[in-house]
Amino acid sequence: MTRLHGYRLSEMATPAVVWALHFVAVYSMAGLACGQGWQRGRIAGFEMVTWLMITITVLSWLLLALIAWRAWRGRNAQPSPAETGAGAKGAGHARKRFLSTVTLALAAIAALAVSFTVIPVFLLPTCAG
Amino acid sequence: MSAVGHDAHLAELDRIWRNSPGLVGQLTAVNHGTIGYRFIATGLVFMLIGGMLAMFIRLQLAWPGNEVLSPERYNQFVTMHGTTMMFLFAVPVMEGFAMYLIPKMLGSRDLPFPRLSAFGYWCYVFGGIFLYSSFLFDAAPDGGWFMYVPLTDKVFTPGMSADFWLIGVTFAEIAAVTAAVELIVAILLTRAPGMSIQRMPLFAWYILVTAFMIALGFPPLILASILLEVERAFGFVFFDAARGGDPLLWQHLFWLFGHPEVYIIFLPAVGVVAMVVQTFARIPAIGYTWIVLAVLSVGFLSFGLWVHHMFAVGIPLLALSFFSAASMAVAIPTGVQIFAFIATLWSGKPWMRVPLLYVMGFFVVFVLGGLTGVMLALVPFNWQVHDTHFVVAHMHYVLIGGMLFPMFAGLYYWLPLASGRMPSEALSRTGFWMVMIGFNLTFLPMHLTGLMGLPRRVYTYNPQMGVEWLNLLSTAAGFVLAFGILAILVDAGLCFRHGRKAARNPWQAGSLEWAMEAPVPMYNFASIPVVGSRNPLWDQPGVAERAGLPGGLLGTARPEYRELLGTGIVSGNPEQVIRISSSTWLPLLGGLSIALLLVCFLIGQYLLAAMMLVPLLAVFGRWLWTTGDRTAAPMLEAGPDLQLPSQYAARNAPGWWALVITLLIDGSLFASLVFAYFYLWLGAETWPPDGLGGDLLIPGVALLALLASAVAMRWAIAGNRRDQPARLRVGVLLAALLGLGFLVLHGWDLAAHVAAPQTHAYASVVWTLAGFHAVHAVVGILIAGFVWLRSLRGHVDAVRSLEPRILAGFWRYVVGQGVIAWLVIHVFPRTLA
Repeated sequence: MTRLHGYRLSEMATPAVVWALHFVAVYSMAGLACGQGWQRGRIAGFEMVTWLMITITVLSWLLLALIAWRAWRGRNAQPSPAETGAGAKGAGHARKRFLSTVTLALAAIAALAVSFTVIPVFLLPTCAG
Repeated sequence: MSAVGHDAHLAELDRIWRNSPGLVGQLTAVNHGTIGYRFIATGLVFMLIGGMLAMFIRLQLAWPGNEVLSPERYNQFVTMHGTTMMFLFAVPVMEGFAMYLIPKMLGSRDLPFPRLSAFGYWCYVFGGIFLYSSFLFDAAPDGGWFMYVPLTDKVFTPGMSADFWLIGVTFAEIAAVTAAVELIVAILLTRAPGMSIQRMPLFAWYILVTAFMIALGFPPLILASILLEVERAFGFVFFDAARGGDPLLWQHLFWLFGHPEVYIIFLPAVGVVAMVVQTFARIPAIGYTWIVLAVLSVGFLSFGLWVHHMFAVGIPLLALSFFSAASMAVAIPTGVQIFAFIATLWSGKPWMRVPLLYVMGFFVVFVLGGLTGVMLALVPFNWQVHDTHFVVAHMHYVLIGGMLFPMFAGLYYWLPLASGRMPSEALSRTGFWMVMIGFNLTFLPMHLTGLMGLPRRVYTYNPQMGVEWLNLLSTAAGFVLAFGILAILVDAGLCFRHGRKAARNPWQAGSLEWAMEAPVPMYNFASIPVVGSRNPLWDQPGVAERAGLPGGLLGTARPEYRELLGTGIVSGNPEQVIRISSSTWLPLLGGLSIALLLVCFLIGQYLLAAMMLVPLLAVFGRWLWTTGDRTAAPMLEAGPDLQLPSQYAARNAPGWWALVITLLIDGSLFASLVFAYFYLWLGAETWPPDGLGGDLLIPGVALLALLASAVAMRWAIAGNRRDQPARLRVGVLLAALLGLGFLVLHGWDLAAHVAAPQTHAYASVVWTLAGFHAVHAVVGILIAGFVWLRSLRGHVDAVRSLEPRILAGFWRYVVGQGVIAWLVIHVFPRTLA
């Protein structure tokens, strides 16, 4: 079975998927802005496209925080009656703990990578080059 | 069971699992051990060929003005060296290691799709021969291993050399893609019972992540090759700027593959390091969870690096910075792995045998390459050394350090398992030091020559540059490296004949592959072991002996078929008995028919090439019909007091997961095409160039037909669930007819309103998008016909529902892809107006 008391193997990769989507989003926006002049108007000192990049970054952070919170709860959850005891039952809890630990740490790394990616947005004009 | 009963049982197992005798047996073999050996041996042969080309390159560069190679020959050798090492050596050899080891390490008898891996092997060999046959026609590819346009388009590279590359490499890549499907399903579904996800050997984690990277990373290159070949053969426009194409599209697609490719080569090799380190440190890996985490992070981050190969092409700085950031960030999880290995060695009692010596070499060489990688990730520094020998030095430190050293570590580590004999310690140490010294003296000076301005890929240089002595040193040391590699291969070969006999598990390792006695039986385990820890051989006394005797899981019923035990993806609990196919000619015939088709295409006989689809479809039709055991009962005996469903009746059937992974690969291919569409739009003045003709009426009706086919398919599958075979057959035919209706209507509308694909990039990409989807719809219709026939013959029903489920899954995908393509073709241009 893929599902294990509400925890899927694929869930482990979700933080990295958020990073990837964020990366594609900011890169595409930069491409649209420089290739097609998309959202280049200025509002409050920044171009609109910069605001959009900031928005998408904040959304990614929130999403990662949500994933991390879920994983944290999963990690610290008491073993359910079905999972206590020796042998196969106890192993179920250990699996869940392993998967949620990896997810939690991956969320932290993804948040770091998202932040790192977005730093140049504040250092460079959108289409310098 | 009595001792005599045991022996009879083992003899029976051996009879079922062994290859047929003689040459026929070799040509029809599908066993993972045999196929794994072949991938490794063939990969090493290509390494020698690629290495020989490298020696010619070094001779030519040894001194300014040398005339060892003509400039044309030099370009061919540089191109073929890179192409061979990447596509015909590094990737296939690591696949070979994975194919040989994964089932043994996971406690399984074979891979779940043995014919698929055999087929992949033939595609790889034929693709390699195809590529090298270009030398016979004096048409060896010479556009660089990255084949940049416009240099490789029909104008600047007339003749067949670029076609040899595009077709040959794509042919060989089939092996990588099939291996990805094979290995993911094997790792997810065929681990020994009890080997839940957090007990998996680290090597399996590395292979799992690598296989997913192949699934997502190879399609962009496959698509790019198809687009360029179609442009060369039929005059379509994708890369020709004069007609709305964009040469940078090629670079994006190529490096979207090309950078993950580096990690596709590197990660399996680090997986080898992880196993060797644990065994020779004598303790389990420190930070198992952290290593898994780091592998996953590298797997993802490596897809955000591709543009760092394109820093000098004029992309805006902000976009470059994103890639610069990711390129630096990827060093962090890579570092985590290295530190975890060092910590493991530090905490253990390292036993300095030859495999560990190579791991030490890996640490030194790879870390140096990694550090110059961080330098190259910095845009201003990158501009300074772009296309110089500094980059040549960097990538050889990364690839030889990150792949060749671990590969030799693995070769020596698993040699006793494969040969039953121990390698000679003295000879193997000599080989190591020759490689280590030869390598560093070859490539360390290139950092300097690069900084002094020596460009890459140029057949000679000016004596006034002052780099001739450093180049001479590189050349001389290159020969030391080459002889070192030869010495290692000779040593490994001699070991098979003259090595001292190895005891079982001579390195006292903890992972399951060492439970077997060498020579390893073809069926691996007489009883599938039950696992209770990450290192079963260390923690569970007697597990090895029990696995060698019948009576346990898959060891009670009289062996009649090649059977695997299928277990839960996360839990590792037994779920199904998987019956797999045995020796057959089909993989070879499949590879041969593709080879013939491609040869016809290469020489421009397109009608003949299209006719070659007939034998191809016949072979694959036969293949599908005879997969596994279509007569298997819904429940089979899996062990003492254990009955499990056969895969045809199991929810997590390997066939189902193979479909999921295949669609992931295909989805990546499709996404690359959609990316190409939008990329071409981004650079266009007006889109479409001549305005949009027609309205949405006919395309709308076509779309309705496609959606209706999805409804019909649902209705058919629901009928199968309720055991109404007639309804299944009617519904499936109805869905196929509606799909056909979509194709006719949509094609008719496009023909009326879209210009010929040769006129402009817009027309080319629209026709390609529609054609891409049409091919999928046709495949869906063929599968529908197959399921119809299976139902008619009584091979599928409500319990054995695997094949209708696969059809339904594929059909949903075809409809979804069609809707997206439809929106892109018909709705997006209208939103621009």
